[in-house]
Amino acid sequence: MARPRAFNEDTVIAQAAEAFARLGYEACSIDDLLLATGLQRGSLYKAFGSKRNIFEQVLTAALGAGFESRGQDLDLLITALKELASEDQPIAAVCREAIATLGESAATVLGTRLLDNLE
Amino acid sequence: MPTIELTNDCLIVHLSRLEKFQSLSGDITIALEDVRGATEDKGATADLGFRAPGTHIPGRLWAGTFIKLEKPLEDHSQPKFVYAVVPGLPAKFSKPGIYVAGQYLGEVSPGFVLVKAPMTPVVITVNHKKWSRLVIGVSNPRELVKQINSAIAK
Repeated sequence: MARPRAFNEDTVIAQAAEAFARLGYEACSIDDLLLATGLQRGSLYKAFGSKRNIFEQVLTAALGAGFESRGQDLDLLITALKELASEDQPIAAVCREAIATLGESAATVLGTRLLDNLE
Repeated sequence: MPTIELTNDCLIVHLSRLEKFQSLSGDITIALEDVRGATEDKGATADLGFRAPGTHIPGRLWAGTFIKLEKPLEDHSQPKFVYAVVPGLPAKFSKPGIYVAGQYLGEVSPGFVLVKAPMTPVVITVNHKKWSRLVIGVSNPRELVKQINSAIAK
């Protein structure tokens, strides 16, 4: 019997984004995501299918207008470029689009964000 | 260890004779279009639900069909107690909000499981009439997850 979902997908995406930005993609386990979102394992798999699919939705949501001024969203873009873009075509396409909106300042914006870690 | 083969249009889980006996199942073939995704998930075996039917040696072997009853989150119309679980049968005796006998009204997600310690479980979510996911213990989880996810992205 189908039951309506008892959680708000946007909230879950925002909570997952925080976990991915803090831990990176590979290091963020399903248990970390369950802890961050408060969902049960079955609900998470049922709603999203896989960790990769959650990350794709998180990334698409993060790279909306004005993402270059939001630290967490830049961290997500850096994570995607570092860990997934070389092998995952759909995620590489999302990254390319975001880089294109930054234009020539892309390298400066990403580099500045990485160097912020030193402060 | 089960081997997973990816052909052009199918994902096939090959089981050894012993594994077929332990899980009371044959090889499993699923069309790629019905595969939703794959994830390496070390904690998957801690959260499988009850076995029906199959073999379970705690901490060592999980084989067969496992059914997990997902507790409804904040839905007060859902029953608090479940006396008997027979997926597919109507709820015969129930008092809304208190109990139900005959059928569980929350989410029931049966999974096919074959994990032997110390292999790492990979969770493959599928659209299948019998199972909602396959949990297979393998020695090369990261490679396998990448292969499956790139095969379904094509």
